[in-house]
Amino acid sequence: MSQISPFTVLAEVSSAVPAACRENIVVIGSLAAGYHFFGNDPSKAVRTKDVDCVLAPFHAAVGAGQTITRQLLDEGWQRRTEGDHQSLGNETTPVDQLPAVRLYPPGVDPDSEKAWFLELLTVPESPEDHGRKWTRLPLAEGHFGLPTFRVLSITAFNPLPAGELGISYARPEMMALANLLEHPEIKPERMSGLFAGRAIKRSNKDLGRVLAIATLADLDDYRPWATAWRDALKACFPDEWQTLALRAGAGLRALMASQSDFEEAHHTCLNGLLASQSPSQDSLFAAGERLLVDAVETLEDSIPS
Amino acid sequence: MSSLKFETAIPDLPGFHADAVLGNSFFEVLIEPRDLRRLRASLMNVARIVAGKGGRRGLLILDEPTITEDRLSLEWEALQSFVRPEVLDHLAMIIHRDSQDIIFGKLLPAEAENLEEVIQHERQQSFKKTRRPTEAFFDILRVLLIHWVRKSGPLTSKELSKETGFTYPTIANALEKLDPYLRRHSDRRVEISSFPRDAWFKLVAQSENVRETRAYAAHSIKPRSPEALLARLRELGRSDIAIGGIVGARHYLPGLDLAGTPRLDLIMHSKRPGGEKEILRRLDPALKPAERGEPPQVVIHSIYRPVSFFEKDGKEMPYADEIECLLDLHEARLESQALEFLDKVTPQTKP
Repeated sequence: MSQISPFTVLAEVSSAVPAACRENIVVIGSLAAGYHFFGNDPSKAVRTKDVDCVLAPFHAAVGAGQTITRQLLDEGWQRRTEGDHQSLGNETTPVDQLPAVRLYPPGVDPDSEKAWFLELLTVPESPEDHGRKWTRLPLAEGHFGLPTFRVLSITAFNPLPAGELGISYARPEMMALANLLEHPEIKPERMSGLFAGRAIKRSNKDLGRVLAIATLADLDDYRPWATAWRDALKACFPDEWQTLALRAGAGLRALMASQSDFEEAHHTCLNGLLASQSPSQDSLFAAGERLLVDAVETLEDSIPS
Repeated sequence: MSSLKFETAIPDLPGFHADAVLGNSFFEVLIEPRDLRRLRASLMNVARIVAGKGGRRGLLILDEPTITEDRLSLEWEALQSFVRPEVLDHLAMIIHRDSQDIIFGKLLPAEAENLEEVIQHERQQSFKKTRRPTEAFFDILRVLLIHWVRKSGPLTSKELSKETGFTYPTIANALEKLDPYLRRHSDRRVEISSFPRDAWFKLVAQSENVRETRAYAAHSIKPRSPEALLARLRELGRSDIAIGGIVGARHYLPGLDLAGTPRLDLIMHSKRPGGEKEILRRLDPALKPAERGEPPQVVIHSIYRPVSFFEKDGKEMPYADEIECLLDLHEARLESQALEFLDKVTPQTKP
């Protein structure tokens, strides 16, 4: 994984995309968390290789995606061609076989220490959309696809402006909630690649991200997160928000009840967002306890029985 | 309207008694039940009381049980399989917790109105049963000192018995030991006349044992500030916990010479261990028992006397009495502040 500076990368993304599309971009993931918590400290880097940019709202996603991709390709950004479905599609290509927009900045060696690529995603069209969905993104040279996941609507909810850059980034508490919703249990699937030398369950990595965000937030009181989560759930899933709220904490509780899963999550934190803090397992666990009592239980208690 | 009677024998059932009786309603209270056998025995007791004479109702109150709701629900269901329906109709089991009551069966309005008083009475009885006789002297000393610093005048032995929960012989024994420091009035009332220095320093030396001090610290993560912990505590709105220590002392002596609040001292007028666990979780789930020599963020002490002497300040949560606050200062090794506090709160006679 690459070590990249959140501020530098967000500035580069902002300057590369057309000014008119900046308002449609919400940066999510570890880079967004890094930007929020230590974006002003150039000495702090985030270990990641992808810069995930969610296009919102949905009705503007295709237009913005086309404009952004066009400009980046014209300026020499290079397509990342690893993985399945990398050939550009046409009108007859099934939408789920289209390649995602994944672009390296011009002149970057993909194998270099500081290489990163931009990936475009979109918020879901409807709250009823489950699983991964694709939206066709036609360009002159062929068709791309914009992937979406159900919880991306949460991630992109009420984002924060990235200073004067014109783009936005996801609120840390919303990324935490999205990860909680995505993993109401510890699923057995492991990540396709190794994480700092180890095969890690994706649930442990994503729920570890929740603990990392709580640790970095370092709040005396996480209860305001419950209010923000409730607002986001109501806005994004008006028919289901209560059910989702009641199961949001299940995966985190399962993680904290399993020593081996928790140890994997700790490993991802030490080699990810918390690399510069190196918290002990006890410390990470304490952060999880605070989050559960303050935010998760407060959210659960707010749901009428 | 019927009035509540406590500790009442049941004439037609020799050996049976009710913790409280209200008209035809007979209450039995279990404080913090954790034993299913005891629970079943109590259920059978109230069922026998109801079956013994027509028109009676039997209520079993479980105050802060450590048994789960699911388990208790199963016990109630099991009762239905072998108790006659006409008896069952007159039975109720109430799970009483700070947060809410769960009621199995029916509760009449008059019973519901008197529930809290019945529970409070039984808790006080329970305090008496759990206290160690060796602590009696120090408990009586503390109550006498509270009256002294509050200048509330002399007390009869009966009043002392009511406030401390000890019997006349125990009180007489304690008063004899304190005799050099007492003023005995012609009507047999007593009050402290001068500071009982020797007895006080014996109490200070044994304070942690006498008050069952438990210290908690967030070992592994940045501790929450005492102010943040205090704000959370106030939100809980508990009337059986009072603020002591530095914060309590400042309530009585705002000019106390100490910057900051090194730790939060709380006084529990309760014997509910489950309650303490929940309070700590709400304050900060990262709080764990402090290791030897580790500075605690929260320290909890218990008092078991029937009268708490907590001081309520408007809508604020209560403050512990002056003597508990003084002991907290000593326990925290804030000796100069303890002396300053003692000097300011005690009447003219100095130690």
